[in-house]
Amino acid sequence: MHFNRLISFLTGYLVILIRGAHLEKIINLMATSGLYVWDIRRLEPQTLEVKIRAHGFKRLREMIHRTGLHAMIVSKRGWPFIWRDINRRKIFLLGAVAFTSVLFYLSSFVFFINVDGFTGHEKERLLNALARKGLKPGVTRRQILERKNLIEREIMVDTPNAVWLGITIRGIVAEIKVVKRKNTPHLIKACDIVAGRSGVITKLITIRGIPVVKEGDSVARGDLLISGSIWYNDPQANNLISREVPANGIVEARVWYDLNVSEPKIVWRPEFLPSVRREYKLRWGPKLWTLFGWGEKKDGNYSLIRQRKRIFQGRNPIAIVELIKDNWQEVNWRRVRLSDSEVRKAAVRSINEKIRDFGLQKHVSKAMAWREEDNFLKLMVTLETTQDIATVKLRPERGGKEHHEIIE
Amino acid sequence: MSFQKKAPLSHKLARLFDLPLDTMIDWPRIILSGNKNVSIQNHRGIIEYDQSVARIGTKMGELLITGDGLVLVCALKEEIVVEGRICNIELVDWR
Repeated sequence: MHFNRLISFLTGYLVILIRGAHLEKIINLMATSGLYVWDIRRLEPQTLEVKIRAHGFKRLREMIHRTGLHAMIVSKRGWPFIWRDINRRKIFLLGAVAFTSVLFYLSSFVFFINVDGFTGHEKERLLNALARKGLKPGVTRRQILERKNLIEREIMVDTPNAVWLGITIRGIVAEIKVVKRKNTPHLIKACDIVAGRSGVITKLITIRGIPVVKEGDSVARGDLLISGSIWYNDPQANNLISREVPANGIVEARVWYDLNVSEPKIVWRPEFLPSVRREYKLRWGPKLWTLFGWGEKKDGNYSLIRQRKRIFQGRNPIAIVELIKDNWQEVNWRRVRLSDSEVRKAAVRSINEKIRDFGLQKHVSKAMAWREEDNFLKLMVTLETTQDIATVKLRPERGGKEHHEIIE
Repeated sequence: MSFQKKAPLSHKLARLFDLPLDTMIDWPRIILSGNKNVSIQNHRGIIEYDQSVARIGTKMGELLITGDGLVLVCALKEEIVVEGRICNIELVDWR
């Protein structure tokens, strides 16, 4: 039924009023003669409204004459009649076509950019970044849709306080949805990774940037390991685009440390004498009172051992209250020549302290060399270890602009 | 003495092959959708039509449809569709 109605609209149809007696007769005539009639409605006892296809009206008129009824066309509907009306108003048609064309053409541009998630300076900064990447009022939708993913990625790199960013083009409006990062990380400037020590590379993991060395390479201190300048191809523009990024990675290398200690063979050692002076004192803030004491302190060399006992800590460090016990022990300093084993033990103890200070307990191998110089015993230790030698080196500023090169 | 009319051959064939009778014989087929739409196939013309009454002739007898705002949505040789608020359908003088 709906298909027939569509055909009727395309071929054009008429709404007809038929007047007279015995109207059922004309309905049966129309139905049996194969005319397609629909929406037959009795308006009054002697009036019938009928819809009929335009090309069937001629046959209907014959039937009406035969039955002695009267027919009147109420309205002409369907595409042929609409088209005829339009054809009569050519300027109007031209205007409608021009209006539709202009509307269609203008709807292929982006005129508004809405940012949801950022406000104030952040929003302005984001809009500037988007404009630099080509998303600004006046660009075509097609340009944006082709490079949407690329723009999103690049803006994410340039906007560290955004955790997610999505671009949606709705008609002439570009909607930018940003999810703001709660803890904004510090802005990391473009940098390279250089060698902090000389060594042989054993492991190289690049997180960001382009590696310029490989495992097994020997590098000197300051050599470039991972470059912070990356290049990628823009298939639309057929360009090579260079970007400066903060390079990051793990570069482990076998490195060697030379540690030296010099241990004296002759040392000064105290010899404690029986003369002792002991004093008890009380401190209250800056003031110090001697409470009592015994023994005698003569002129000479004394060794002082002070012990403290805090009575009241308090919030104010000036109001500290403490008991102090001073022990003055008379000493006689003697020059002592140490035995070889003692000197060696002292040297090993010193070198172990140095190894601990440098954090080299997990060394791979260790080579020791002893040398005597006058009254000193020198120990040189060469340690081989594996460690991360990656060191950040900031790149010089280039104004943050991209560098393009045409691929020939 | 009672006289019973013999069933036609087409009826016998339809029964034999277990076929639906309305496909074999031009009996009227009446499809009523709710109380809004009634479609009558194999009709024999409209006897009377008004906004409240539609009488449609069939081979078996007359079909009387009463209701409000009745419209002949489609009037073809094979089918008539009546739309409106249908209140009653009556088979008048059916054999």
